Amino acid sequence: MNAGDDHRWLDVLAGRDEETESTAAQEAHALRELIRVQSVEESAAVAIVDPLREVELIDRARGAGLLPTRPTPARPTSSMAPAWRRWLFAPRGAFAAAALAVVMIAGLVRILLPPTETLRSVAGGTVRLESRDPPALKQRLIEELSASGVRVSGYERMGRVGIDADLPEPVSPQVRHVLERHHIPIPKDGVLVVEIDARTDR
Amino acid sequence: MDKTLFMRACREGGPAIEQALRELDRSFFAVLYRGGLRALRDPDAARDLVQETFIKVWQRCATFRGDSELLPWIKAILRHAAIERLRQRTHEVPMENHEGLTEAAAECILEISIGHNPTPDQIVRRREHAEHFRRGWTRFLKEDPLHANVMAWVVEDGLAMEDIAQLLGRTPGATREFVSQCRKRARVYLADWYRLAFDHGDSR
Repeated sequence: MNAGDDHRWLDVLAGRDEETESTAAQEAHALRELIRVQSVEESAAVAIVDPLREVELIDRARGAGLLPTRPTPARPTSSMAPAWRRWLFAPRGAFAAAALAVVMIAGLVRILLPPTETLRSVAGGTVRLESRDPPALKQRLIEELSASGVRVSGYERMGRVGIDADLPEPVSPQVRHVLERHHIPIPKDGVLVVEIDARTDR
Repeated sequence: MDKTLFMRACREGGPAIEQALRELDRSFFAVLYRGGLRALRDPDAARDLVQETFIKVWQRCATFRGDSELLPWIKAILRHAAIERLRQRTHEVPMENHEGLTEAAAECILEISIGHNPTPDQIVRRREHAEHFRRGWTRFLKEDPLHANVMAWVVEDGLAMEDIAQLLGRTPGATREFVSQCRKRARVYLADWYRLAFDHGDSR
């Protein structure tokens, strides 16, 4: 078997070459025919529409930051002191405690969680992201891209926050990883322009 | 799903993505799942692979320029993800010493292509050959899924040497070697089928 022989074999296997003279071609023809039959036989029955599967996919998209996450209801804990419990179970106290808990949890989430962003759109070569904290996300992008060897400059002008960067050619795995983590598509021309809008959680 | 709808949803973002994800699932899940199942041979892993692919599709939606149809582009993303998983599972085993085809067998394969009206005996033999092929192919997919799946993708979508290089992230030289290995390994895993073809002179 030589390289030309393998090339011919591949072309016939792919159905691009109708040659039938050489051994490689004969072998590939026979393989092609039988592999095609196998593919049809292997076809598993799959529901075209599966609501459960769709819900799973949407949840996964939320987890990946493509869609805004649903707020989870706050629950009171059962391990509180009796005095607190009496106060808590009084009608006005319960209402106040619930409101306080919601405010505290929302505040904590804002402070402790890393900013999650959603890709809004890409138009005219500009990637638009949404984030709860645009300046923090901008800083994070600058740090992560700089650490991957990319020249990045951040800006805040006219109420807009963003970064400009020149990506290396080809894009290194580290840079690719950073971009994928933030749902930023890799620009074809290597010029990355990102604008970050503030997200108001619904 | 129409590619213009996909591109519009990508531009608009937000709630449009949710609807578009559902559309993607309805349009392409079945075909991608079959490909994923053949590659990974595990229904749960195949389902997970397809959903991971849909997420990647949205993360990279802006890179889709609409030059091709949507499905081939999505398939390429799925295949990259499948290859990553297969590489985590398997080790590359060189098979340089497995030359499966003798001169006589090569002649026999040449005979295979000669079109003729099959006799009942030939029909029985073809079924027998197909059964041997099926067994060998199943084993090939199970034990060496990367090479077997690339061969199946070549048959399905007519991948050329450059497409395979891109898919595997390899240099042209390494890709040529990979293709050569596909051929050699096929001869090993499908040895019974080759042998039968040699003995009876007909594998169609």
